[in-house]
Amino acid sequence: MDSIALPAGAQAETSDPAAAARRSEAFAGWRLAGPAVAFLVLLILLPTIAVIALSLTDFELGYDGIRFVGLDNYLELLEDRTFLIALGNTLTYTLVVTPLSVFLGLGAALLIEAEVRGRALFRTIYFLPVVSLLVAMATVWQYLLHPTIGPVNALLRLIGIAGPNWLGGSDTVLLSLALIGVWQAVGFNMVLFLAGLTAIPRELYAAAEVDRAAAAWDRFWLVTWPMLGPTTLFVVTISVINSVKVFETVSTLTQGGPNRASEVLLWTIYQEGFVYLRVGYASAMTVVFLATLMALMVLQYRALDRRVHYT
Amino acid sequence: MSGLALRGISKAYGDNSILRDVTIEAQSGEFVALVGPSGCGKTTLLRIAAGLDHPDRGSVWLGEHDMTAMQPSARDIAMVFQSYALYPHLTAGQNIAVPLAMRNLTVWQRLPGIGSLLPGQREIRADIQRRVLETARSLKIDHLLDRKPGQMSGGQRQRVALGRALVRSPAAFLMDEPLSNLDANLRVHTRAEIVELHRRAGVTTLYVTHDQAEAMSMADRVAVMMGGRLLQFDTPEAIYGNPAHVEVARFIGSPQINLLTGEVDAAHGVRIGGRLFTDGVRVTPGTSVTVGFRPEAIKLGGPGQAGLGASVGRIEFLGSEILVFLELARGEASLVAKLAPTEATAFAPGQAVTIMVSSGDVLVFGADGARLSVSPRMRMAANG
Repeated sequence: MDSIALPAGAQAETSDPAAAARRSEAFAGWRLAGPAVAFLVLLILLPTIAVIALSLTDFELGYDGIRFVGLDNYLELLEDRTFLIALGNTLTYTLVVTPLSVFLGLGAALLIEAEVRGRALFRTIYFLPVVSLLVAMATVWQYLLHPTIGPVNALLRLIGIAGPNWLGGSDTVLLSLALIGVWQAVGFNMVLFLAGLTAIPRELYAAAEVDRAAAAWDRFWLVTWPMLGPTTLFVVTISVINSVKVFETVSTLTQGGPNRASEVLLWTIYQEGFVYLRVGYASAMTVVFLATLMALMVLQYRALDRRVHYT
Repeated sequence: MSGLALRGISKAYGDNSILRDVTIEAQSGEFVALVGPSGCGKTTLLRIAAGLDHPDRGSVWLGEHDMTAMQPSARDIAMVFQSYALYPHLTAGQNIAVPLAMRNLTVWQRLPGIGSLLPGQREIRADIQRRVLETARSLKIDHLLDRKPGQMSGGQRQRVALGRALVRSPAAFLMDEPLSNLDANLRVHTRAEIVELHRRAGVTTLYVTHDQAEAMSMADRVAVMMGGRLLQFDTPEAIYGNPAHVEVARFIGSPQINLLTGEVDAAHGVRIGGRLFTDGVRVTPGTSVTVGFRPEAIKLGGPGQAGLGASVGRIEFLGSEILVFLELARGEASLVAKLAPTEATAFAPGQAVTIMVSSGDVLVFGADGARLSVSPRMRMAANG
């Protein structure tokens, strides 16, 4: 008891022991968060600030002079046809890949969850594209989609359709890339949905059955879909980010062509920054790219978060 | 109104037998409690009644209808789950409305947006709303209808779960430990409310619990289950006073029944430590039996009287009664006696006493645990 009771003298030393305790607690908090904060600043905040700073200059790698040009880079962007095409293509790509990969991922997860046999096998098969190296798999896709020797067109010929030049035609190239993107993302989304599905209490399904939700469809709407809310929000977010970041397939298969039909944001930034070495200009593009992603995320969370139920 | 019958139900998962030939028939309007330790199969039996599990053998009947092959949604049965199983994204009112919406509205009418444009659904929804409110009022939760389960206390959620079961006026109620997640005070309170609800609605109810006091205080009849077997199915009075099996005797009653090992002598009398406890037991002389008597059957006397010698251990004061723990002089077992406070004042820890039990209060169980009938005529016959 003695050790708990404050001696009378101790109170005189600090004017307000409660405030002192709060201060020391706050200090301990900062000390514990310190390493993480340091890394955040060093690895995320500083590079971002550096990119924003560079975007306001005409810095080019290999040239000595660096001049502050204000918003000139951004003004140039507005008139840069390549950049605008890249923006549009990225948007189209995202609009195709995100919904398809989310719903196919959910479908695969539901099918695997519903069947007891072969669960691990199917999970592995669907997850393979995620773990396989996309650059290496791109060669396979190049072969599959080859206009003359590719199996896809060979199959189409069998049923009397003349297949297009998938990756070579400006009408089909973006769609082909999007399908490869879906192929790669479905497995990842499926695993996330599977995790979400296992977290749904079984008793809810039992309750739904007793509550006359006789059809599987009713139970899906009553239990599965609402309970998957947080998972779906996360999956959609990740899918949007990954779609906007499409690069490897473009780089290995089409190089933005033909005729800039598969020009996407990251590819354009890469070209400007690392091929033409216009770092200042590429930085401006990067800032626009980041701002777009941020805006998308904010919008999405505003729109969906209120409707998502977290248990 | 119809009775609910589970006939010859057996269920096994692989080699693990969960239920062995269990038959329980609840009369129309009857409140039947299934009680037993965890793992005895009572919840599986309830899930079979609901149609959530399927029996390997046996049948489920509601009134004259064989429901064994029916889907849960096709059975006119409501169930209250241990975890309440409320839909967390729906408000209390919407939760209660689910069974009605599922039954009365078509798939298209339930669709958000489009559904509200379809003809006829407005009247149906108004009717559902009215019945939800009615049910909520009867459970005194009408002020909570707009809250989601996450914003309610355990007791409130429990009522919403009850409401969801009540609203559809089912032919039978199934309840799976509905009180086990409530604190002790609320549990006793809700216990009384459920009994009152049952009395008013008069719906056949199967109530699963592991708490023997709950089963005994609420049910018209109690089914005691152990290891997948139904040991006894009878009124609470009969279960307590006339247990069919030593496990039933042990499980029912608090404090536990006193059990001692006895020998059957040549004259079919049961002796413990040479002292004759009762007679007329129909077993081979020389076999050992289990002798049971309730704590309140014990009379304590001073040392040296006719009975079992013992010493007083600790004494627990419970207000209206006193528990006196006793160590047998031979040291083989400890017993407990329940006395009125006035009787107990004479005893103090460490004191030597004599335990006396009237032979009418003695229950005898055979080696397999089954109750042995005790009839004095047998003894006379044996003597004759």
